[in-house]
Amino acid sequence: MTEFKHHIEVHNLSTWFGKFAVLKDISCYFEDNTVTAVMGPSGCGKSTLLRSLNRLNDLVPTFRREGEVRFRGQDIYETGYSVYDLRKQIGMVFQRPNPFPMSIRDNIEYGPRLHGIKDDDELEKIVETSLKKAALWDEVKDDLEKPAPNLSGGQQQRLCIARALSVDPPVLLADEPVSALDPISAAKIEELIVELKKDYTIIMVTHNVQQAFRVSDQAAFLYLGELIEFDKTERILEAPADERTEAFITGRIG
Amino acid sequence: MSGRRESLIAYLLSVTQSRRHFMDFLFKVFLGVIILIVVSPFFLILIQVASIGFWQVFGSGPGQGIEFFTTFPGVGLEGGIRNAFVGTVELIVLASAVGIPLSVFGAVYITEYTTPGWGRAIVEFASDVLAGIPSIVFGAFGFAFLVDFLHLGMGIVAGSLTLAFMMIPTVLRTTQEALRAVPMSLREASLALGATKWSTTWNVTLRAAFPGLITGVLLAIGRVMGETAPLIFTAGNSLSVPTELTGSGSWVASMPYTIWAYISDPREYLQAKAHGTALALMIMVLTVDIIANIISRKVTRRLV
Amino acid sequence: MIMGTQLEFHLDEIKKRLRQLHKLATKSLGDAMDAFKKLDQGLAKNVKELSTEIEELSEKIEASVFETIGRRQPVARDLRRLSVYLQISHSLFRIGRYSYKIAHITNLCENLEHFKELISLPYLKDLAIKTLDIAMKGILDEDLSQIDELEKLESESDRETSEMFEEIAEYLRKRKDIEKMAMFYIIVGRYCERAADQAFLIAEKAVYMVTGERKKLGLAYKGKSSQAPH
Repeated sequence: MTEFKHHIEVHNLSTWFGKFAVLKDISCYFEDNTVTAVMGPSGCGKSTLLRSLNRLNDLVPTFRREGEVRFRGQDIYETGYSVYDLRKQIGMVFQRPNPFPMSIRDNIEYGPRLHGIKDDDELEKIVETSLKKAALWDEVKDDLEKPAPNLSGGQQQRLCIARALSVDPPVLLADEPVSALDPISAAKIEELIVELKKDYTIIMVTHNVQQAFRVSDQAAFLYLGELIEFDKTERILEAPADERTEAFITGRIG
Repeated sequence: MSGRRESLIAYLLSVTQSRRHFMDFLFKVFLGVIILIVVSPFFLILIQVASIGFWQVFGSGPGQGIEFFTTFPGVGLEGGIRNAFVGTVELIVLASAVGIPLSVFGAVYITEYTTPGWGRAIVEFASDVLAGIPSIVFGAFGFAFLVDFLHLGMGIVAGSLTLAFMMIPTVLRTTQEALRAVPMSLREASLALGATKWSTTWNVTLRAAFPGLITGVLLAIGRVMGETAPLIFTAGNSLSVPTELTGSGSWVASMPYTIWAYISDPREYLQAKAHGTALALMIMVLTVDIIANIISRKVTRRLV
Repeated sequence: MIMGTQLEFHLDEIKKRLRQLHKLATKSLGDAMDAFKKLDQGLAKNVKELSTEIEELSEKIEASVFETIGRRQPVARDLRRLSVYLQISHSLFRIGRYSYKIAHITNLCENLEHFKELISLPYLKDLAIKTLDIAMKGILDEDLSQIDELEKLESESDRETSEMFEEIAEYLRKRKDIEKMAMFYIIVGRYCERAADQAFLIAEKAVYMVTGERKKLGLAYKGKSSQAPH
């Protein structure tokens, strides 16, 4: 077992889609049990960075990468590394809620079943725990057989969070998790994310600066593919080191 | 009563109050007439067929009603059309058993496992072309290749395989469209949980595409049910049901073929039977299409 | 961007008010010292009224700052600006209070007379006002070029205060009838020193606002402490 200090570390990561360079020599690490917000103007590479952490970019045939991403000390891009194991340990929540067209219970059981859990009692427990962690249990506990797409937008997204948590990943990635929701649902989920950091390391992409300040402990500012600044949120909020960061967070660019 | 009359007069007045209003009214009438023309063949056919063949299917005399479907044609082709009815069902079942898996898995492969490019474009183009080829050409192909070249001889196997070939291009395309309609984020969500591509395709993508898939399948079945030309040279004909898979015992009748044969026959009473068969066939196709329609309407609600 | 200009509009409004508050504070300190020097009761009354005006303006500025923070959700430099404006408004208000106190002492001196020509006290007042000017320049124009002069002014002020203290002690040794006035001199001097101290604080806030650094200026920065008796 390799020694590691942080669950996720990025070393000199550069990525391309075909000839188009997206990320340029990014190096950083994410503190465990914190929320890190990755922010920047549209097109700066934040989603690409996030997807490089769970190798979801592999789906794009023109994706090319240099540098390392280390999960628990091991480079996830080295040959022979099991991407399925990786994704079991790094969960993801997407911008648009995307529940599977199955019942609520089936949605949550999907992940654990994939990884071999068959015992009904165990699955039952997982369903309840996950839904409780996502603050959805009380609302749906009597309707677990109902189809998931019938839930409201905010509920669907909490379901997706519960689904991601069902396999108990130490790291959770969130790609603009509330930008498609109404403000009240969004606020509920923001509070949820802050609660969850006690047990999980959360990395969240957002284009909403205020949200980054509300929710995160660390903030990373990406601009045109470069990591301009990465520091404690309170520092950046008070006095960012780089003037580009300042211009962005005060609303003068992007 | 006078209330209705009043509103009618008010309406006529409003319509004639200016040239613009009148032109609008005229156009509405024009479109209404067009719709009637477009829709009328359905009713005309139904009426024509039902007027002659109704009692065959719904009557209670000898060889009518249920007996129409359960009795074999006997002396002078009196009796029912059990041979054709069972034949059509068996042909469809066999054709689907072969055609559907091939099309669906083919579509899955093209949509999920290949990248957009030459290969995919060629397959799609070939499918589209095949979907438009006249059914008689399939019949000729079936005869030359299956009956003759592969020495399968005429019969249920050759017939259903020819029908399968006809189904494949359509089902492949509709399945592909159904798969394409599944949003990428659903697959990503599955993969992000650590699922393999196959697991994702089987558990999530196909499941999400299922309604659209079934609709496409049912529509293809509905179409193929009524095909005569492919079966003329490949299925042979029979007054009973097939007993073997090859050879003369495998010859099978079908409802479209029967309609054709009976209509061309000079005997009067066979006209009624032909129309009865036609009515039955229309009802079967209609049922399949209605089921397809119901399922497809459920789709738009569930995928959100 | 709309957000930027609306925020800038609010900031400009607040700055305008702060400029006004600075003027009033300076005037009130100057007039108070004048009133005490001439033992002019009328002027002292004006100073007391001016002090109320200062308090009201300061409260208006405070309300504006809260509103801007609530509405505009500023961060970084803008947030520092607003929090500093809030503190400055209070500091200027306090200077207004010191002027009020000096005017009050003038009232208490109704039947008394000066026993010497007032030189040190007006000079201390001038030093305080000069310090305030430099500090407010940093706040309102974000111009920190003269910040280094503050150290000089601080030592000047220190020196003057020490000298005055000794001088008054000397007087008290020689004469018997001047205790009240002598104590008033010390107290007024104290208020001038407090005013200068507030001005110094304002200057430190200006540095924080512009650079984001919390720096101590002057003697405290150098690690030395004031040698004056208070």
